[in-house]
Amino acid sequence: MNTIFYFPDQIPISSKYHTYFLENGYQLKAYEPTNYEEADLIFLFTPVKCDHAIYVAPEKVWLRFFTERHPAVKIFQVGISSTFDRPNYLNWLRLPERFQDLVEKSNTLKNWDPFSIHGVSLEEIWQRFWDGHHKGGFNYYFINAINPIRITYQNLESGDSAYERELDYLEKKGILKKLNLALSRWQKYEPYWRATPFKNRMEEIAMLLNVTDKFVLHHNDPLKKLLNNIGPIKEQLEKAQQALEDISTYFN
Amino acid sequence: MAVKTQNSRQNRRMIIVWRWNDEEQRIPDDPGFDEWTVVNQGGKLIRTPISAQNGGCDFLCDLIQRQLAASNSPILLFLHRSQPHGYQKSHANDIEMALGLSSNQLRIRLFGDGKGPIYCRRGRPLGILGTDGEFGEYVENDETPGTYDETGLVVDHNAKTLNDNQFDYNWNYYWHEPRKQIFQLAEDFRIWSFGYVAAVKEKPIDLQDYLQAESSLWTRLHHFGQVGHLSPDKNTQGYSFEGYHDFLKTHQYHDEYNQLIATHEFIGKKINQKVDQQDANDVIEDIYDKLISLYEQLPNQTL
Repeated sequence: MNTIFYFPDQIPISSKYHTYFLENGYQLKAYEPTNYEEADLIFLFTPVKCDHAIYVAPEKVWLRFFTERHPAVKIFQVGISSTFDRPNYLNWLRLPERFQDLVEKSNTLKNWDPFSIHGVSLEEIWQRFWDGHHKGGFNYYFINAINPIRITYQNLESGDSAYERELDYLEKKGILKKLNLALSRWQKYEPYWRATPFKNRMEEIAMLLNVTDKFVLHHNDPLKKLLNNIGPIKEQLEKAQQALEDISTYFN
Repeated sequence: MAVKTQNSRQNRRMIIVWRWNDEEQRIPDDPGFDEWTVVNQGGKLIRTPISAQNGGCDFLCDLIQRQLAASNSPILLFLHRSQPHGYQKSHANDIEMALGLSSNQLRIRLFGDGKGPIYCRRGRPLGILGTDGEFGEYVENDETPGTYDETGLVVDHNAKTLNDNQFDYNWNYYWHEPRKQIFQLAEDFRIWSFGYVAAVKEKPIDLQDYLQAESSLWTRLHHFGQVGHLSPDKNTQGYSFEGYHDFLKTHQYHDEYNQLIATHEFIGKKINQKVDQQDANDVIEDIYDKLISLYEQLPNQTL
């Protein structure tokens, strides 16, 4: 039995649709980012509603991710229009008599050219999040927070500096403000990452970042809290940084 | 009884950052803004020339917070893109993030280069901004170029009062973004249709009955389809396309205007007729395709 993963997983699927696909040799399952290798086909119901009023076009991010991770899969865009008559598009209201015919005519990932059914592309949203404009992006604030933390950590580790001096240094660097701005920017854009095929990795990054948020920024003396725990915090932030750099390739 | 002010027509505030340059109505350096009252409704238009480079974001955050402390009514902030102001999307994001307000409390629009109905020009008598840093009080006559008509925007310079027609028109247009509304209506309908298709496969149910059960979407479609019969809805929660009709007509977008009217009629007819279950898929496709096709045809500078 072949497997179709559909996304978003909240799309209601009636038993008659399940039956249709079973009769055509496919089981329909909601997309799970942890076992995507099981998929033979992926149905993307796009554009994806991420925020209460924002529709996102995530197709190209899915294309890049699966080209790298599971290139044998085929991706279909699913909608309700007859005007998009092209390979790899399935009109949910008019299923073909023989689904396999549609699959045979469809393109592999290598030849798939997803078309835009409107909505803001995830790449554009990532660019707004990461770069912003004029030093306004997540990356700017994050780098300017993590670098002084690294320096302070090294200074304390090597015994070259005193506690008070490092406290003063971190304060002068405006570390708390920069961390706060980076985290605010992350939280603002977080809903959009639900449209990616790797939302589990985004959730891991969120956990790494949120520890700093809850543990440090909400403390009554955040700078001291940061300095007293500089090692574990540096480690958490570096893990988040690495994970963000890894996934950034899917947005570019 | 508590008076609900949020989202009512009263007390709406428009803050316009622009190169205000009216010698007779100078904006004082301290506090850096002035306020004009909208007649018949008590709304305010606040003028300020603060640029992004001069700490505009902090200034505007402070101004918005003060306004909200006075009244928890919606605020529409206009940021001028062009120099010397130089606002960009990132500035709007920074302000939104710093204040953490909902989109029912604050919306921010970037504008510039003389584009959009906020500029008072020949054929656009309901604009607010004139040509040289002043209010748009005169507009070139459509039929007799070189002659000018009064727009009536400023009711009384000394009392600093403005006409509510222009205020309402621009509020309606920029707060609601008509073209985007059509796209969201189409896509919300698409998502709704998956639920209908799933439900109807399990148990026969009429398209119209199922749609009426989803009251918000039904209301939006119904209003869109009945636009010719609605009086303008000036409540900020509602929306009338009439201003948008005027805009398209005065900007010579005749085909687009005709398609918009035809789509209103089409949707009104489709959702008000009893649809045989056999035909439901055709009707769903037709409604979606019409709305998307309309969205594609409408000029994208109209938001």
